[in-house]
Amino acid sequence: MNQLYMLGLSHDDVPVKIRERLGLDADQVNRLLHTLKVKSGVEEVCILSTCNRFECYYSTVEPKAARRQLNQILADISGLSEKKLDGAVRLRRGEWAAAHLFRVSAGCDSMVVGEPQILGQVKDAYGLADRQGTLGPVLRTLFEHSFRSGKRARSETPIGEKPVSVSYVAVEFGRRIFGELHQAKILVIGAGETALETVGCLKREGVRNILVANRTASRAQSLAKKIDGKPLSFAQLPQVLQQVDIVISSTAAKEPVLSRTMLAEAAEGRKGRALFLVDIAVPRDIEASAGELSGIFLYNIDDLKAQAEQNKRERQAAIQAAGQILHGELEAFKRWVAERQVAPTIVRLRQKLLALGEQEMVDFFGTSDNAAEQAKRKEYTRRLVERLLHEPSVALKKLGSERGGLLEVDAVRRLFKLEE
Amino acid sequence: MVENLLISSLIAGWLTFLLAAYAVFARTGSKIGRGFPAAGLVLVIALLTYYIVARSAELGHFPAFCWRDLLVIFAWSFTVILVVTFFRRGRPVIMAGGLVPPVILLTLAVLATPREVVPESFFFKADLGLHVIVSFLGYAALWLAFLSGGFYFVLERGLKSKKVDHYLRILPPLDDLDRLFYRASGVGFILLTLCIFSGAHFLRRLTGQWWSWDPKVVLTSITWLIYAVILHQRAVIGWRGRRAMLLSLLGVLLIVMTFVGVNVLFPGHGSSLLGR
Repeated sequence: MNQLYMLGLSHDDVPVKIRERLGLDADQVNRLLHTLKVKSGVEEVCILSTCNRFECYYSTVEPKAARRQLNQILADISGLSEKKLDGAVRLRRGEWAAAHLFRVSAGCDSMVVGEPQILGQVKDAYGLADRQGTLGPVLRTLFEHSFRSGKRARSETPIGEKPVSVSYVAVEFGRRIFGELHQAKILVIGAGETALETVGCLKREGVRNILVANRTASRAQSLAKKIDGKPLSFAQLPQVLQQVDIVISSTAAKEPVLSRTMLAEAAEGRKGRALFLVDIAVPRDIEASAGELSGIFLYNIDDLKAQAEQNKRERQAAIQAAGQILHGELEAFKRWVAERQVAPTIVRLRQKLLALGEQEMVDFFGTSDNAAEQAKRKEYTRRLVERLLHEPSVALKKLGSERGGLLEVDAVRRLFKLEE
Repeated sequence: MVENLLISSLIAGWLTFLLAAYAVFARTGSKIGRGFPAAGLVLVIALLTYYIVARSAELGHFPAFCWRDLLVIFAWSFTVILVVTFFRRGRPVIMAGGLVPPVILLTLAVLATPREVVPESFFFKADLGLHVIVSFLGYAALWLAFLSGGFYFVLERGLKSKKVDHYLRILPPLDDLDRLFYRASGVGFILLTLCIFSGAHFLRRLTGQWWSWDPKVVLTSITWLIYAVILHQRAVIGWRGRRAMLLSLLGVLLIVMTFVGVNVLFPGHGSSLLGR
């Protein structure tokens, strides 16, 4: 565990003007992995580079030399002085490095807590390192544990459950009303940025039927072309309101575009079918009292923001629950490392006892030409050694994960002269 | 053997209900949320069907002539209607809500003392069996309609207040609830119509008349009228939400009165007429 390190920087403590200098694409990461493996003396290395973080996980027996080399290489890439870079990056060692990766994979360390992309980015980083051949048993196991912890945190806690962007909150409300949205018919009025973002989110949900209304026909046409919709004029609105399921409005109009009367008539024609109205404009495009009408669900920008903020708070609260899962995974990883440390001692002890046992067999019973008899004696020795070593092996594995336990493991090595 | 079957279905029913309730309140993946309750429901139906078949074999006719058997058939009807709903577009909350009446009925069935009232002729047995099945399936469908109507009402209020809290997330989308309400009311209405026809036919065989002022007949007819209004208003002016839910609640209360109230007031069985 002590050979594991993480050197990196993230949105938490470094401004974007420094982060962007280490925002590497896949090719650059490949080249860097190769350089680090060849020049810096690290045994295993994996690089996670996203727009919010640059983190280099590595395993080495010469940490000082590796860090020096790493600093030099990163300074060359970023164009920053070594001193400045040294002040910006943070070094984590052993279980702190492992715990950090688990937090990152679970989205606990993300700018938007619980965002789903990070786990994919960690997997991509692992894939790149794997293809470059810079992974070894420690990083492989570490990353596999991190994938599991990320997945578990998402499925067992609400950390990534609720949307935190205004556009996705609107989509979530739409889902609560209509369920699957791919068959929904959408009307977009105006061309605000958030409105277009919301349309983008809806399109990702499979929505294909989009109508675009604007005061001027040419703007309606150009916007319709942009979002793959059908243009229509404002005069058609009363008719269209009876057919569509979702209306997204964001015009710059000073007066409401959709009045209560207009929507009351539409509601009557819709025979109770739900109409979901998203009013992102300021001043508002839809008369607020229309939300009281039966079957009309009206949300303005403040409603969506309030829900997004509430969801953010809930995600923050979920970090604690996720922490328990991450702790469990970290303990499992530590056990693996401990067992790995004592494994050579157990193997050597077993080999030594087997050799002794077989020698004693020959000394006591003499050599035999009979192959069956030889096999029988060998099997007897093996079983005796297995039984003898079962409890000591379990105890040694346990010692490996205890504080100061490795000293006792060392005593066993010296006692049985296993170094020789 | 029938005793063991009844106890087994009661245990399976409660376990399925608890699993579904757990899936509602704990955020669970697909296995616990859908798989296990669905498997439990199928097991309950299998056990109850086996019970009904075994009782039929034991008695030599359809077992609709004592409280215990009636309660079991009623519970079976709920589970049959529920399984159709759940396998189409199931949510644990519908499963849990839909399982409330059958587990209560099965508990009562275990507690009830078997007391058989033997009808006068074989024809009555056959007629009454059909009448019982049709009415119970209808009642079960109408309970499901009430349940989805209630959920619709709650979700609609939540959405109007512009907050989607955890308790609203456990509910199916508004459109799905509306569809379920409409379909379950429709199926329930058809079955209730068949129940009235089969009841009238049965009455005629018994008394020579198509109509009687028996409280059960009157209450069932009022229930039928209420659902006729609900479906008519839904089709013509698109009634949804509060009004539909309140009428549906009235319908369910009348059903409870028809089945429980009248039978307790006029001890007998399926129809109070047989007790006279």
